[in-house]
Amino acid sequence: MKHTSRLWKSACSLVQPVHHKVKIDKRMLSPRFPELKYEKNDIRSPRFKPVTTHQDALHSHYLNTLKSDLLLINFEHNAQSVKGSKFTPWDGSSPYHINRPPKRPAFTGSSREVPDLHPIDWSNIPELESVVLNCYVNKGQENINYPTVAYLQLQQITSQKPSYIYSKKDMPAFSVRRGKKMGAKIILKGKPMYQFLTTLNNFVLPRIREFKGISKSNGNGFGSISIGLKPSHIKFFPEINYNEEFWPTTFGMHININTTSQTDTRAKNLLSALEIPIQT
Amino acid sequence: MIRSGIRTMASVASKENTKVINSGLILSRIPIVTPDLTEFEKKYYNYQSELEKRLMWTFPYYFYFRKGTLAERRFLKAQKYPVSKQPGVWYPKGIPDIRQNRERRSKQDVILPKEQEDINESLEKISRPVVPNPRTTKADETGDLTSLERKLSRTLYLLLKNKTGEWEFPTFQLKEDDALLHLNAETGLRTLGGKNINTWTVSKTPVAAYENNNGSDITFFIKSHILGGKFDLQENDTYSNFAWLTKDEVKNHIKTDYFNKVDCLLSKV
Amino acid sequence: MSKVFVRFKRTQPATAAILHAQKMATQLSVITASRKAPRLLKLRPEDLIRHQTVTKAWSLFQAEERAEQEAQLRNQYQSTLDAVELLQKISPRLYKSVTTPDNNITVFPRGGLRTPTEYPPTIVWRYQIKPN
Repeated sequence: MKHTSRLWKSACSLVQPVHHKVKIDKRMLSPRFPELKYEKNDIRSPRFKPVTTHQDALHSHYLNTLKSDLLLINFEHNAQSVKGSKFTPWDGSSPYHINRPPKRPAFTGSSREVPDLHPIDWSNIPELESVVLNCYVNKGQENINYPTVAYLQLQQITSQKPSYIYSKKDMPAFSVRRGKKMGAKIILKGKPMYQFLTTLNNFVLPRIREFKGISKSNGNGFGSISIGLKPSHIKFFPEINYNEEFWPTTFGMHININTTSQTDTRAKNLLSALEIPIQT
Repeated sequence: MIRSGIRTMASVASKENTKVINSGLILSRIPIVTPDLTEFEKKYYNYQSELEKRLMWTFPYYFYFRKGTLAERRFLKAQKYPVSKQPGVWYPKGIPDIRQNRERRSKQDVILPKEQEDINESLEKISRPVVPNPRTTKADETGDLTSLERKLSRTLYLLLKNKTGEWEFPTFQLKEDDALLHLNAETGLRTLGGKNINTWTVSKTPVAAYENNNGSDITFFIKSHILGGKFDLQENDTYSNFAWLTKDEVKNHIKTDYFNKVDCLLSKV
Repeated sequence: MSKVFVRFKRTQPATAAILHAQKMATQLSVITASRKAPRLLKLRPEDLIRHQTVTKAWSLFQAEERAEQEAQLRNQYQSTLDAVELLQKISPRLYKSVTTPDNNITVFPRGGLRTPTEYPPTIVWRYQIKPN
């Protein structure tokens, strides 16, 4: 959640109407700092950061070689779209059907609609969407410095700016209070994402002995794969490895690799193309 | 499982045709080095990285080099320091604005200290200086078309010259009744080019069909990558020569209608 | 006021707590912008126009590349479709062998299709394959 940090902060809006539902970007209302109104990719904005600073080897490899192979591998003759289960209205055969909420999607307990599954053609070839690094520190409530160290660790590994994560609810058993800083996370897209995957492939995964490849059951069913790294594995990242005396404590993290493919099978196929080991 | 989820239409029963069916093989060697940059790309990347140096935060060297160590002293010695602000001095380029040894108005260059080592030391030594290998090889200089080491930044395709003098992709006729397209192509390649070759067939689905001799024989192309070993043309009756060529060279070697069929299958890079 | 220097004055020893606090201060200074941010860019109007021209040219260049690639992939898809349909017409047996799905995950060969690097490896190509 992007705004978990705001959960616990009492805030009152001075903008009319006070109880608005639409978020108002207040920097757009203020006449004081005109340069803050520019988009982030505009050079006049103070937030401007150049991104295309060098060639992206992994992405260009994907575009030049892998994409056409993936299209061929996923080709299916006369394939049809499979409809996902949706909310269905009642048929109205009973008077009690009036105002009754629609039937839930077929899978038990799911309150979300399942998207339609489309066959692969030239326009929806599986592609990497984002990589999310989530570093939740269990001991965050013991030592207030740990979330900061986790933040620094993510920043060192990815060279991008992470954000803090906060606990969402009170858990007295673990002496965790709502709104407490509990770690850091970062969403990587584009060039930093490919850079991170290259590092992961070449330096980290080959040195983890117990890692035999992404297991068969891995995946959330919609084309998102996750890998967990233990604190000892973090030391394999070159940025941490070089500077090891500064890192007496490192924190494990979850790596979620989100792809545009709609199934785990296709997602694993894509990851194997990007040289991430897959168990078959 | 997606494959069972998507319905596949049952094959329509029709009479076995009398046409000759061949399986062709588009065998490629993928690039080994990154694509060559155009002049525009080079300049744009340079512009962006200079901008990045200008807009980046000051490098916190004290985090990477511990105070009082030899590494810190070496690093600090390698840096170029900006002109400092003195009272009563006129600066033609404006008054220096220096914070943490960085001129805030201009770009920051972080210079890493050079390791002074002998280049001719043995390969085993880990701390030897990194000297990149050249992107062009001997095969590029001699113009050896049969080498797998030519044009490292491009995808190469295997073309064969048949006895009539025409170039084509390796083509093998399906002779047995139970032969499959991709298996036939793989075994054909090994009988033609020797056993010392490691290939990976992308899919058993053909990527293109080409009818020649007025439609009497049809070639279905299978896509494959060479992973190791090499193609050594053995004694045979059909082919006399072979070459590894880029897309542009393939275009010059084969007939136009043949090229138009495979144009969309060959990588531009 | 003159300063009095006292020899052998005992200073407070660097306790673990102080060292820890120093370390935290270093770590915080790495992730915060204070004293590290450069001055904002102030472009002259003509420089701004130059920058915008370059950016526009780059985005056009990329759009062209993308369109070209998509056209090629569309052609490839069409070519595959045509080939399979032709196969269905002339040889149902081969068509069946081609379209039978296998339920395993198709995996690219491990260590086979390597990502290109900026400079080639010392051994550019391995000419001897491992005997199976």
